[in-house]
Amino acid sequence: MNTREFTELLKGCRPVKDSDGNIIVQSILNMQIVCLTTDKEYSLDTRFANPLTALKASNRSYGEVGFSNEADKEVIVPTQMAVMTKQSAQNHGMTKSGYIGAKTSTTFHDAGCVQGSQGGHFRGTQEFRMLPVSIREMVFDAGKDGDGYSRIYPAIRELGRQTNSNTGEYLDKYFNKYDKKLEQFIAHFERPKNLIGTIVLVDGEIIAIDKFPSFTYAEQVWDIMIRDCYGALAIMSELKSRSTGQEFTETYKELKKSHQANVIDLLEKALKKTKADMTASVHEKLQEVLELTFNATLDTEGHTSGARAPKSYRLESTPSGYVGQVISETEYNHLVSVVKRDKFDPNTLREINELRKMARRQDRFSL
Amino acid sequence: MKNLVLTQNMLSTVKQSLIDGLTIASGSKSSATYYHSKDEQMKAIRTQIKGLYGLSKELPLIIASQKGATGRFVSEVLLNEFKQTQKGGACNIVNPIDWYDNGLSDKALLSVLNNLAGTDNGITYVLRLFIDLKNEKVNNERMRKIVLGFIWGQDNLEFYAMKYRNKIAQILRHVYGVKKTSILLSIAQKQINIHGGNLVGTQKEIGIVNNAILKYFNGDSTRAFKLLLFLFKKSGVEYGETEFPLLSQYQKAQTDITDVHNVPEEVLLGLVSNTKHPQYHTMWTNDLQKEATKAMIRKNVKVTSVNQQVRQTKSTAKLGVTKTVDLQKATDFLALYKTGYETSFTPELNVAINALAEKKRINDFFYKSIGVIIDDSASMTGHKNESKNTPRAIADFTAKVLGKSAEVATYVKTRDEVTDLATSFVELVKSENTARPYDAIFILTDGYENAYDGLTNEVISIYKQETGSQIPIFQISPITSAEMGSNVRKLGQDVVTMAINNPTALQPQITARLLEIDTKMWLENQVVALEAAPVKRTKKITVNA
Repeated sequence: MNTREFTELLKGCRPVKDSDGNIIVQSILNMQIVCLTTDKEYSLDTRFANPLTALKASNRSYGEVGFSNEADKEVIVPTQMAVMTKQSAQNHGMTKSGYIGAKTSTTFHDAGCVQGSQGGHFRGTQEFRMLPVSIREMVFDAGKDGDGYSRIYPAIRELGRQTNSNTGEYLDKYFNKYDKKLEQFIAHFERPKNLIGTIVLVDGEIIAIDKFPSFTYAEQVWDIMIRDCYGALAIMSELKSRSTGQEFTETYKELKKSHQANVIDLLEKALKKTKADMTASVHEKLQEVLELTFNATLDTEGHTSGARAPKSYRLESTPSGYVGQVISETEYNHLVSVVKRDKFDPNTLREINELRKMARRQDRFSL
Repeated sequence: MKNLVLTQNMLSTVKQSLIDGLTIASGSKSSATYYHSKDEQMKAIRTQIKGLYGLSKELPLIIASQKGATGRFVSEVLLNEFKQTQKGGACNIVNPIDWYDNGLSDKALLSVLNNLAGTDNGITYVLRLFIDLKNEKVNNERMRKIVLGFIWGQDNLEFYAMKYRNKIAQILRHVYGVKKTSILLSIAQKQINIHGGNLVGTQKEIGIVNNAILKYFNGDSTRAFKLLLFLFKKSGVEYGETEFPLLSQYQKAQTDITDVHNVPEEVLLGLVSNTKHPQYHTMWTNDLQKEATKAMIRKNVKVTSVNQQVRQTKSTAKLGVTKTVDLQKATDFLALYKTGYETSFTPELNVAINALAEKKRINDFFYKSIGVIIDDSASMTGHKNESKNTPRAIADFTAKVLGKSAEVATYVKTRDEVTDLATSFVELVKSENTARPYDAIFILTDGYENAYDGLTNEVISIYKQETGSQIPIFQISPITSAEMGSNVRKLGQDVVTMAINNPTALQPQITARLLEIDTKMWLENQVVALEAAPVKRTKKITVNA
């Protein structure tokens, strides 16, 4: 086991900002996405193949997913990809991301069934989807501690509760119910050029962070990530009747009390202030997680091994509030995927950070 | 025309239906979009037409005869009309004497068919409609006369026969029936092979030919017979170069495609890719041969439309062929813009776009000084369901047409990579010339804001509230769909949302909102226009028996 600093996991990355220097925050209801970018030299665009077209999935027994990489480049499987096939077979989900060498086949035995009592095994399919981010934590844990082919079922049942979709142990029921709505989220969020990662916030708290290997990779998986992975959060917000506050109107009213400027100037000022406030809020939340440290445990299950092959590590933060995975090579992080534990109260982090700051201000003991 | 028989009670229902109908007519598409599946769109179109027809049978035709009505909507209106009997349905707006006895019904139908044929790629829409008639098993006398009149009345029938041979044959077989088709082909073969093309036969035979072909066809019987035999793939007919410049080339291409100029590219590719073609083994057996053959055909063929040539710019360059295209003749703005996005906006391309925008300008545009906001964010490049850059091209061209239609136009494009319309709105009102204030503001966007949902509407609401401005603000969505009313993303309550797929649709959409002022007058004008339409069903020629 070794430790990884949060700042080290996302090194090289920075939030995408607008021409006024504000962090661009894209919102829907109470969910926000902040996109990350990096310098061109840190985007390994030619190294990895498109996971959605290079891989073919097959399996021989329940609870495992085998991938055959047909490309002459390596592939990193997006975190918790699912095989949802029309073949007469049991759909499966991965419990993590995976590394697969060029022209190589491998099987991940820590996957799980996601389609109740459906029987059969799939062959050579490319019908890929993603597991929703709202169950990412449970699925990560299931990959580590879960038992047998049914390890993901509790998470699917939880998804059904979260989204009123009566899934039971059938992930396809959730997709069948919400597919049209999920498709619209793709239009709602825009992928900026040179995207390398995303930070997702709900109710102003950071709940998931993803860093991809390259701009090209981010482009390849963007639609499926937005639709299948993050879309669940927006659906949950809608079900809870969350709505966007009229932040601009409030800001305008506040400014009007103290300014005599003409309407248009005041509108401009209020708009700038609204955006600056949003930036400040995200900035503050990011600041809080910067101090996080993760215990990293090597995970070899399924990944192609080799002296020069990237390694996969499971991540668990201290204090235990975030869980995830990193695929790295020497000190270079290709893919990072972190999610907040549902029960974790970010205020705990705030208190710890306060204490940490106080401790730093204290003088060392002396006489 | 006698006065409309529309009662005051019906007026309010008709008004709303007309507005909805015009909105759908100019916003509907047959293909899927970012947000709507094909089936959903078709369902919405059919429901709308059924509703309009139920209200009064003239309404769908009146709406479909408007400029800007999409091909799909018009096709569906015609299909619906053909499915009904001529006397079926209630005539609640126009006086039935005018509709039935004075031939307004036929005029309306033919005007709509002309409207369909007059759109870009209109002929394909019409032929698809006729195939739909076959699929829906619609075969009544009115339909037969109109279909035959349209097909045999085409000036360019020789070209269409070559390009759409199977489709036209299928349609004719449906209209004539298998038995009559066989009789006509038998007569035609006899006339060509034995009588040298002259119409000689029993009175019954001549009667059949007259009724089935010649009363619709502007030409001699020999030409008609030869075309008929070509359509039904009957061999043994010679097509002379002077009489049939295109079909003679087609005949030549059946054995040698190397020096053929007047046969469409797709037809030549179809011929040479057939294993039975003599040149198949030397020109189409491997990728290298295929590329070389395609390049040769691209270089030789001279009957490719300008619009198609523009669309082929990228592939022509890829094939290594140099071809000069007269961009000024292009009428398809999507083709021009997409070529620009994919290659670059050359000065020639910009000139052609400008000229086309000038042609499409809306005459007597209601607003003289306008502000235009163009959403230039990533989502405007379209979705996998649509061809790339379609929404962006519609928005860019619409902005240009709006500029040409108004006297003064101020433009603002969104600056950053994500949609921030609120900032653009403030920028636009800031740059307003006080001497020439805006009469209207147009926001060209798919409606998906990224900063946060509803921000633009908040800014607009406060702007209107604080300045007391009554300026109309239109959101024009280039993501078109039939059920837009329920699903196109609206910016908010203070903005009127319209969906268009072509600037031509702007006027009917605006009209739809203006006709609220005097619905009856608007309807009367439409009926008068239909009555004055210079259309007729047949082009009669006389043949002496």
